[in-house]
Amino acid sequence: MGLFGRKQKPLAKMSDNELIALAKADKEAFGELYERYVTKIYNYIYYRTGNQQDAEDLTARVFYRAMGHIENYVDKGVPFQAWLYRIAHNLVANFHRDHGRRKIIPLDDYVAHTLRSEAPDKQAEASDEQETLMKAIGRLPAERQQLILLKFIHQKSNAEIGEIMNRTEGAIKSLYHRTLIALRDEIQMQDMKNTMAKPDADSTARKHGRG
Amino acid sequence: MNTTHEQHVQDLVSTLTDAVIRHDGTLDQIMGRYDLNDDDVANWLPIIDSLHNTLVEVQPRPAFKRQLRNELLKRPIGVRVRLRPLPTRVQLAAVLTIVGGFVLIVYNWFMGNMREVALNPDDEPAVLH
Repeated sequence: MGLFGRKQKPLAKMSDNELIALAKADKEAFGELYERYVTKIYNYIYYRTGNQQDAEDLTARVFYRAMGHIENYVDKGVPFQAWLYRIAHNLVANFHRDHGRRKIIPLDDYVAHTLRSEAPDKQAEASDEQETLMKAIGRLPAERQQLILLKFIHQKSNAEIGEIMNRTEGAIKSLYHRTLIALRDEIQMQDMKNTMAKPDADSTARKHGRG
Repeated sequence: MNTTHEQHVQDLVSTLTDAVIRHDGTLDQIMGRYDLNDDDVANWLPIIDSLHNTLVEVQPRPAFKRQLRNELLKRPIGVRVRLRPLPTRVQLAAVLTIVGGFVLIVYNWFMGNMREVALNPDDEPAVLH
């Protein structure tokens, strides 16, 4: 870069667009973009694939692909992070197509994380609820899973989600509403199934107890 | 087509979600601020709250983050560098496939030579006579 090469502003204080312009020639600028978004992209992929190894593999591929195409990136109203999410979404879709499966996150990882401070009986109850909810999320179509993750993990507004998913804010609002209805119905159905299965299990247990 | 009522419910659900996610005050404050009533909240809050409590941010391994950053900034050139971001089991499978393929080629080549030696037509008359 030389004496006059490095810009007056530190990389950490630059906007995404400034960094993208620099990243076409300066790898450190891409490194800053990487630091800003690696955790978000990792989370998105982790919840969509269900395990750490696949999440790491696909996260690496997202950033390799982004770096390979950053020279061609032009901000046509799609922010850089939306572009990254689209790459991640496509790679996850390919992953599920190739593996013919749609897994849900192993519960141990996040239940331990979220419920550390709860009492044991509350933990068990909440863990059951979370398991049911994660299964219900896992059964949603891919775009609804994407919406839920962007809203709750990445805390994006409907407008931002719209940019990422290439839809209007109104369409996202409507899709979110329908997704919540679907989840609520699915959970109610699961609860009913569990309630119906429980007396059978209890009677079996009693029978075995007597025998 | 969206009716006005549907639009109202969609707005309400989004508003309530934003309030829960951003910890926008207590439930009473949220209800007062957004003009919600108990039924609205009872209908939607449990599922929104469950999602908020279940979907929490996870952190990637620091070693993974560090390694990937280093590899990206080095610019990948060649098979070895491209192999490195792959999971260990995939790397192992790739190496085994390459070694297995090589062994198979050598084996076929060797067996082909042996067959040629055994079935050499020039040798047969000499044996028969």
